[in-house]
Amino acid sequence: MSRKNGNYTNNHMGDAAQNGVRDSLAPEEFDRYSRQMIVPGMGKDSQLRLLNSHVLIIGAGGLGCPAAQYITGAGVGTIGIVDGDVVETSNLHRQVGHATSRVGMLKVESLITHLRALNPLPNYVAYPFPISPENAAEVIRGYDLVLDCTDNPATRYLISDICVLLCKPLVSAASVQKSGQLIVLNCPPAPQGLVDNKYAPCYRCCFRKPPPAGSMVSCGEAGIMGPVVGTMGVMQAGEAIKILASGLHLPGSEGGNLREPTLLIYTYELENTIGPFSFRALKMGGRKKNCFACGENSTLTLEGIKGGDPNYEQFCSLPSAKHTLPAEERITASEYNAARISGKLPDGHILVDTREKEHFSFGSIPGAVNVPFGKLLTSAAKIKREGGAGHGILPHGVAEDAPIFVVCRKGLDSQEAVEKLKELGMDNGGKRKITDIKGGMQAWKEEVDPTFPFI
Amino acid sequence: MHVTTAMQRSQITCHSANQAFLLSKNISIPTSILPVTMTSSNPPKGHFNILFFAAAGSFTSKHVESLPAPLPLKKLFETLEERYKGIKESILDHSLVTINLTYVDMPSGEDDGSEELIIKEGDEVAIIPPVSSG
Repeated sequence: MSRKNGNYTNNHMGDAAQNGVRDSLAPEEFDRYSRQMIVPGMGKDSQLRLLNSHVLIIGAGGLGCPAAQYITGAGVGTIGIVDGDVVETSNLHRQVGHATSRVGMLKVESLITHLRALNPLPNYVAYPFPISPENAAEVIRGYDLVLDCTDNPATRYLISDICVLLCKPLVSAASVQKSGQLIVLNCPPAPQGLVDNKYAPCYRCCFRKPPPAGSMVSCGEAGIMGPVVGTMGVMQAGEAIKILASGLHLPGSEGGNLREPTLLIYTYELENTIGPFSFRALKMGGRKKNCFACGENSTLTLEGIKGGDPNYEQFCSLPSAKHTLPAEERITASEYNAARISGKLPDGHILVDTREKEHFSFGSIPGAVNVPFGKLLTSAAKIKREGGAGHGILPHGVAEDAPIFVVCRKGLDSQEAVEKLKELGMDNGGKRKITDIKGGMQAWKEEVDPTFPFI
Repeated sequence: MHVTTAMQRSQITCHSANQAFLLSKNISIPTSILPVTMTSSNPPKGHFNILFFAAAGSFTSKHVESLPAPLPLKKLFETLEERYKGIKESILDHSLVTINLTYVDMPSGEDDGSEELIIKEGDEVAIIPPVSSG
């Protein structure tokens, strides 16, 4: 292994083999890949296409780890991995390419260590930084196919746009909590502007607009089941191997072989343990005529992207409906605690904790009752639609004039909850006080109880 | 990665087989774990099923619901907005819509001359917001 310009390269196959196109298998490769090469449809030519291909995996997390394992196992010649993060303990239940002993190490370095142990033959290239509009084209240019294993809308749009402009097939997967999505985009790749309905869509053709900022939750915030994201990552590798083995990524492969673009959705149900598996394959359309990136009048260029046009961060952080409440409707966690200890909280008050019940199950402020935010919104909408007293939102037995305090995880949902309760008239025209606890349970841990099990 | 409607049917079969098994063994199923699944049973007469995936399911607190059919596709969002205030801006505006497992373009409002799509009795509509994490 030599280290050049921050890249790890593996030169044991010799430079000639790396730079030229391989037309035969080394004995070691013949043995290693034998079980996949004899599968109907594979054979020597397909294996050589894998050996001669360059695959870029963007994101070395819950999708990138399992995807990289199978890409590596299959004998892809050059594997690039992009990620600027370091390994954390809370990654390990799903990010199977890392290890307890490598917590704190750069993810790209940790994952390549794992991959090299699986298969020392491929050439590994590390990009230990996040993908950005400034570096994306340069990083992606040298590869035949890209796997989007990232974790936010801005990079998903960026990667798709660059893949359109550089004519690269893109295998995109995503997963959060109990849901997974997988779609092959821009494959076979076709130049920007060709739209007569026989070309494959890009990410923007499928998802024209990003969700409002704040409505998107990350795996860190919302949680993620390991096998769900793992399944999506493994399937991503499966699609990539199929494309490379059949040469669908090579120039001139377009035309005649447009596969029906399909969005695969996986829903994993924890609540319904005897239920069936739930996979759905949805037929997607082709390229959209008016697509911002690949459509016929697109003005998107590599130079533009590099120079900040479009602005991905701004595009993905459209104003959200979140408000900040006025100061008199808020109290800090330490003020609440001081009042609680000195018995100065108003008589008969109720403390509503709007976190999900799973979070609540690990601990709460003494006396708190759990009304999960989602349920609160649904009940509020139902009351508005069908009429009825707003009071029904609260547990039975709460006095109709009891002052209400609201706390959530980090202090945003609770403010929205206060507004919802007021909209339903539960403040009795201002006579009943409804107060938000600033900064939620995160602030409670910081200001009041450092031992609180905050997740 | 093709899972077709045939697969959907087999899911339902497998699902009922499960129930049949449980019934044959005289095992009672607590109502709390009765299937509330994406592989929904047929909607009642005069209705279509609508499935809410990912964030759409969190917003509505349900995976599936039956709504009266027929319904013009262009009325779908306002029908949902009446039931779930705020769902249009929070979820629908950036989601994919499918009818019977096939993507449909949402009508843009102004008359573009294209034929009006009508959601029919027995159809299965799905609301699919993007998932971004990984």
